[in-house]
Amino acid sequence: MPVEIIGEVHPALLSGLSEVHFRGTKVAVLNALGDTLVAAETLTLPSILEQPGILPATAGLGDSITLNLGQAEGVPTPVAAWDFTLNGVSIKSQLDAGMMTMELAEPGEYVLSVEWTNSQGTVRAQSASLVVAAPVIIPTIDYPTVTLAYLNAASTYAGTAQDVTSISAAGQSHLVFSKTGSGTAIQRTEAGFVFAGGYYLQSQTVSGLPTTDGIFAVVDVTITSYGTAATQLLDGTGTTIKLRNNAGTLQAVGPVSGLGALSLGTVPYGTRLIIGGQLDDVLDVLSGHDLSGAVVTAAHTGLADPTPTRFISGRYLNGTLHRLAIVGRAEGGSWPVTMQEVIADFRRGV
Amino acid sequence: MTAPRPSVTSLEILPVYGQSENRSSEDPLAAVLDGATPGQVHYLFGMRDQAGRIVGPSGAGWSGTGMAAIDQSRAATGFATAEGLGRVSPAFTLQYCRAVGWRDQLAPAKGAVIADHGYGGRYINEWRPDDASPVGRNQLYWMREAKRLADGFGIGISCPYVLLFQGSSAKDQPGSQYEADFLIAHEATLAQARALFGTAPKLVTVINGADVDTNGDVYAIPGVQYRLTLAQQGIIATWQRIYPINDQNAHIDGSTKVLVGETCNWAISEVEAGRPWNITYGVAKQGDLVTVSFALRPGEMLVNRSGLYDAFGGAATCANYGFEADGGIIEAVPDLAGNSVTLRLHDGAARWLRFAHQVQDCYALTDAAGYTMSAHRTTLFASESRESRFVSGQRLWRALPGFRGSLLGDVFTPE
Repeated sequence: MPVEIIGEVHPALLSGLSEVHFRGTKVAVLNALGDTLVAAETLTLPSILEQPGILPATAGLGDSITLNLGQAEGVPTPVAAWDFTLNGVSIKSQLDAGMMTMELAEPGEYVLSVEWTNSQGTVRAQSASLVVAAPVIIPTIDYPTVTLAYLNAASTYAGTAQDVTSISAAGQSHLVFSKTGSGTAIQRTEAGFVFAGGYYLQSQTVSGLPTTDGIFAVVDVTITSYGTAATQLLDGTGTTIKLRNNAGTLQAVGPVSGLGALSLGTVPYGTRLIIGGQLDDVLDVLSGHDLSGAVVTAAHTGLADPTPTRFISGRYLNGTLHRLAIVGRAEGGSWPVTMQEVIADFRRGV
Repeated sequence: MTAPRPSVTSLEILPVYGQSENRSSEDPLAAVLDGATPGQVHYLFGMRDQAGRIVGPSGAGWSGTGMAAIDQSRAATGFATAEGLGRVSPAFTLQYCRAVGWRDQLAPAKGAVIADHGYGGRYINEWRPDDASPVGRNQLYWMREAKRLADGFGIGISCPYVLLFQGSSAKDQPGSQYEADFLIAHEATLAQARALFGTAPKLVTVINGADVDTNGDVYAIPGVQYRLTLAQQGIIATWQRIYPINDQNAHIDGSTKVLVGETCNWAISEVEAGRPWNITYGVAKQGDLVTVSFALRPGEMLVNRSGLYDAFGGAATCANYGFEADGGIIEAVPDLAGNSVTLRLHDGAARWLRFAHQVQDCYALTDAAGYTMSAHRTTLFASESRESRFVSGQRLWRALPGFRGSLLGDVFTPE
């Protein structure tokens, strides 16, 4: 508001006056004749000089970010009102104490919104956003709890390291794989169980396993050479999934005859490999995880409830079985762990 | 999960006092580090926080309302391989580099354990066992569990070093408070290590750097960390201020985290080889002449990396090689071969002197990529440098100690 001077004031009193502020606003000063001695400032809406930012723009989970509210000008000087949200919920209070920084603890969309306000109004700046992707979580799997059977180099075995006579698998089915057949003995090494095309492993007969809505198996193996017949990485009786090396081609084989086998790639002899095969009785699908890490699927029409009655592993195998996991899905249930999760965990080694 | 047992014959763990600058971030260099250390690097597996969330190599982290506490009623179950984690941090890199070094020495069966129980914005008091924050207790539990499991596996385990890369959050804290809290926290770490491993780990410090704008901030921490690391007979591995900042604040990108970790490993390996590493300084004053000397390694000299700040504000942000004095400096003349710089002051009665400790705003002084450098600046370095093994085109440098202190007559008293 303009200020009017009333009464006698000597002009010299105001001769050096350049600005007069009233409640923060530069106002006009007039003499008794109405002449302007000092001009009022033109009031203006806030104007954005610099948009808000979340730095660095490439921040990911676990990184620290710094908020920059940006800048605005206007008369009077605008004041910022701002919020920082994660998926629409304010997390302003989670900023580091007294700082404009925080560590990104959760995935989601982070948005910094800023409004600049003065007596002339409010202008909203362009909100800054940062989308933080969820981490690729490789679950840590409790194999004894979630599998029907789990074998690795640390599995309990009977016999000697030079002649393994049986292996007690971890897992809910309490399978014991016994030495079967003839020929060269199965050996146990730090890397796993070594087969030389002779003896192989066969479980006891089982029934009623929780597999009627699906079953999958993942194997971690090094095949050094082709044996005398198709290698049974996992085989068995009953309606079940099988994993084979058939003349150099890795295969997932389902129980429905005539539908063929799913190729999982060409055997890289002498190299450790991880593959998986799965029967999904809900979708009637045979799927596998091939050497490249891709999931391959094929319809398996006519699939009856998977009901394995015995498992076999290592027959016609020249090489080392490092790990084997067999997982079932009970009728109407969900997978206790997925094939992809087991594959990912196997790929991480150990 | 079946308790994973590493195939290594021994393991080395590294407690860390860290914060945001030391946190891990996704970076392609992680795969390079993996590739250089097959089967050697692990993290303690199986711990959960009190809400049941998995505690991995990045610690328990944030609970949603505060720092999460590890559930100490649940035991760790094994050492999982760190291959494929895809993340780098200074502390992680240090451990990877240790493993690389053992492999170079034909001892690839020696392994390392990575971990970081810190978090962004933490204060050093949070590592005190008696603090409300669980960060320190988390780390002590992690140490105990690592030892217990290693013993169970029959694997030797040691803890020769503890890393300090922390302090940004304390930029306005009195130095005395930081030092007092650090000493309590550190003594707890040392006591735990002595009890578990028989020896106390040596302190390795990345001295905290200033952010891009030091106006109005205390910044006592660099001086405190310099003094306390020397007092602890530790290793001043490097100074954060020499590394580029990627958020116009204080934080560093993945490549720089690797460089910091590599430099820490370089420092440790030199000390282990019996060669001196720490650079100290001395100040001699006579009237308006001040000579600052740096104690470098035998055969080493000073170098002036004159273009260091060209893209970050230029020479105006680092006048007189980073020296400043009360009343101003007429000239600063380095004797590079003599490892000293002589300053001629405007005022022989100047009351303060500082080096690489400017009070200035460099926020807007970005390069084309948007990177900045700390407001604390000098172009002088020790001459020995080496090529980074993991970050292409980059070198590792030995940073000179920054300082500030008061002058009374011809007597300089460091802060």
